[in-house]
Amino acid sequence: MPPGEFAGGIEVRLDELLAARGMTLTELSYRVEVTIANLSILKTGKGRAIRFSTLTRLCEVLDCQPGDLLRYSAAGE
Amino acid sequence: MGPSLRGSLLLLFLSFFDVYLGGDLSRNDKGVVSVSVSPGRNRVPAVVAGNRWFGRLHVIVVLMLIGSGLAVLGGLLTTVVLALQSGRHVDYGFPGLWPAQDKVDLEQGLTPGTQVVRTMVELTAFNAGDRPALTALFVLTWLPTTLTAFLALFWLSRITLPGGFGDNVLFSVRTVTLLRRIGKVLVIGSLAAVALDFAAKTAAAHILLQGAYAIPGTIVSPFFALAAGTGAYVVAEVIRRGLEMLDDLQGTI
Repeated sequence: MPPGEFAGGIEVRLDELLAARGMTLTELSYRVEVTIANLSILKTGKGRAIRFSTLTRLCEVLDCQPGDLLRYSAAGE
Repeated sequence: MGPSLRGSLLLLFLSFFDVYLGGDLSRNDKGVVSVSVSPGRNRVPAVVAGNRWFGRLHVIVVLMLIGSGLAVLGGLLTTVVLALQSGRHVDYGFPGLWPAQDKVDLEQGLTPGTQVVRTMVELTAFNAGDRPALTALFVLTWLPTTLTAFLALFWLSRITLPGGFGDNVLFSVRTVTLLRRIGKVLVIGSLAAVALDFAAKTAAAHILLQGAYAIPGTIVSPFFALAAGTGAYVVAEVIRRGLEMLDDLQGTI
């Protein structure tokens, strides 16, 4: 594997948390003040990075810890 | 030296510092000059007269492109004349040849007391019997250089196109690709031009002169083209890294 590339990745478990709380993506978007497009990017794992401020607002609104929202998945999982 | 003169000299020196080293220069009410370096170095230089200067730059690049196009046409025209001229009436020849032996009478052209230290004679010669070979060799002396300049200016004019004033158009993968292309053509073209000029002039010297030796050709202008090509590669790499950073920044949510 070339240096700087990783086999695994970070999953953002927005779908599961939203389903558990009965919240829609539109409502989450309104409450955390992040556009639906950007939340979709996060959800699909296409985001390059997440600001601490965004993570803080997501945890506040979803009433969870960063570890509940993010999960490391090794290659092939 | 009076205090006011000393102060002026100090300010002059510090102005140099301000302009060339990116320092930040300021003078308070009591006339005390203070300097800070880091804020000035991080400051983005102000754009002069908006984007108008970029439009003017495009006009200059296009004029240079037209000039290099005319140089190509002039070279082609000279080549055609060289190829078609008869042996009786010769106007054009193979330029830049250095004869092994020369006799030049300079006594008439010197002021009293002047001595000739060294002479260098450069010939333009032609032999109708070797016309096809001389024409082909003549093409090798000018075409690589002018074609290199023309292509580099053509791609440079694509970068400075009026439609490319927007940040996203100018600071883009397209610009990186064009700059790399310019760098490649300048580096390879200038080296090829030197090699072909050397080979062509040496071959022509062996055809036209007795006791001919290798002629190095023009070295100076290819050196500048080589430097400009390397510079284009450096600028392309700077923009590429900037694009990577921008990509990271835009992907941050």
